[in-house]
Amino acid sequence: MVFLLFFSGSNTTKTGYRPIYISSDIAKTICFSAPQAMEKQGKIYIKDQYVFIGDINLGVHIIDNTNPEYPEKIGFLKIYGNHDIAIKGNTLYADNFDDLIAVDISDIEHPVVTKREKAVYTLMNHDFPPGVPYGTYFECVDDSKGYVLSWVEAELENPKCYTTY
Amino acid sequence: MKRLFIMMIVLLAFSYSCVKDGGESGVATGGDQAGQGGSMAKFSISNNHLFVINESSLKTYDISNPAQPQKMNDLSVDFGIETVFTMGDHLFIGSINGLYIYDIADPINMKFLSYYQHITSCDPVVANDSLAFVTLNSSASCWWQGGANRLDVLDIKNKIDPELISSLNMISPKGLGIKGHYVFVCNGDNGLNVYDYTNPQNLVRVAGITGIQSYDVIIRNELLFVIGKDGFFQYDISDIQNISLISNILFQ
Repeated sequence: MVFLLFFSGSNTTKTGYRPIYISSDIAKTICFSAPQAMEKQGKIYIKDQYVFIGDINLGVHIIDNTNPEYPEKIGFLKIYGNHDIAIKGNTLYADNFDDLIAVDISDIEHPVVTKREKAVYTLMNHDFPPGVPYGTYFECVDDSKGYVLSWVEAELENPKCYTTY
Repeated sequence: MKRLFIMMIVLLAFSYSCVKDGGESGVATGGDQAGQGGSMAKFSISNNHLFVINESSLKTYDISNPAQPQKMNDLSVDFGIETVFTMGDHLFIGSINGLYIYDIADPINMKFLSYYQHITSCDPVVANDSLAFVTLNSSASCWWQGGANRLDVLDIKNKIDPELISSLNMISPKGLGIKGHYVFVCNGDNGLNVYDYTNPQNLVRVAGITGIQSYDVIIRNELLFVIGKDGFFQYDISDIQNISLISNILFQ
């Protein structure tokens, strides 16, 4: 699916989708924070006594599972644009929008990005809202505003973009 | 009041620790073991190699020094590749069109072995030495609507020529895992099914978990980890006839 530009003479309001941006700076900043609620459940990964549960596009919830009868949420590793992780030793690998990052988690509360491979991934669902019917209007993405974190439904004035084949 | 204030300061200090690029830790730390992912993974670690898939290619990184992955190669595979799984010297890629098998004994010269084509669907894969299990799912979240909803069992003793042994229709199959002669298959809103594959031509449902939505699983020894939109669930599977819930963390 790609998108097309078109121009119309008169003012019209259409229901469609608007991108929610985050600045390029924040998009590539990795944070540890206190446990938080799940927004959109993603994948699961285990390492030693820890369980990592993805929160699509936001990061991973970290659970101490030393005692499986009482798993304990210990924090949240904020990695924007994230879908997946893997861990070897004390290094966690993650997609961070279009980059692949290696994060030292030997002190989980103070993660350190030890390597960033740029442009490993093609940004999916970045140029247009995902999973919408053909012919859906949306506000054209302005890359200078940063990365698209999500899409919200909105009333759009004279939208210039819509989804097509 | 004062105590509350101190607590808030402590919480604040605890709750926010950020890092931008330029971290130069790279300190070699002990314990180079890799963790364990589910069947939906787009990363796989095998010894000193990290395999990464994006939408169309397979990239290999040398992680002898885990903190400093070095890119080794970049292989174009197919449009719509979704999952990667390694086992011994073999790497399996599930794409929306089929299953690819590579020989990774020498990762810098990895060899394409075979491609098993199926109906366009989402398709995680797990395998043992002789069998591969692939679930096909046609739900809208998999983009490509249409397609099939089933569990395919493939004979992969000959990695150059995998052969379909049997197919089992399911409602909404997703992630899966194997243990002994059992395969655990997430079935979306319909819970999770456990099949005995002693006879791979005729899988027999021997147990199941109902009342949860399931997306993917990880099996470690006697523990079954299940993730779904409602929460994270842990089960004791030491007795397959009496799978018991150990704990859960609900998301709402």
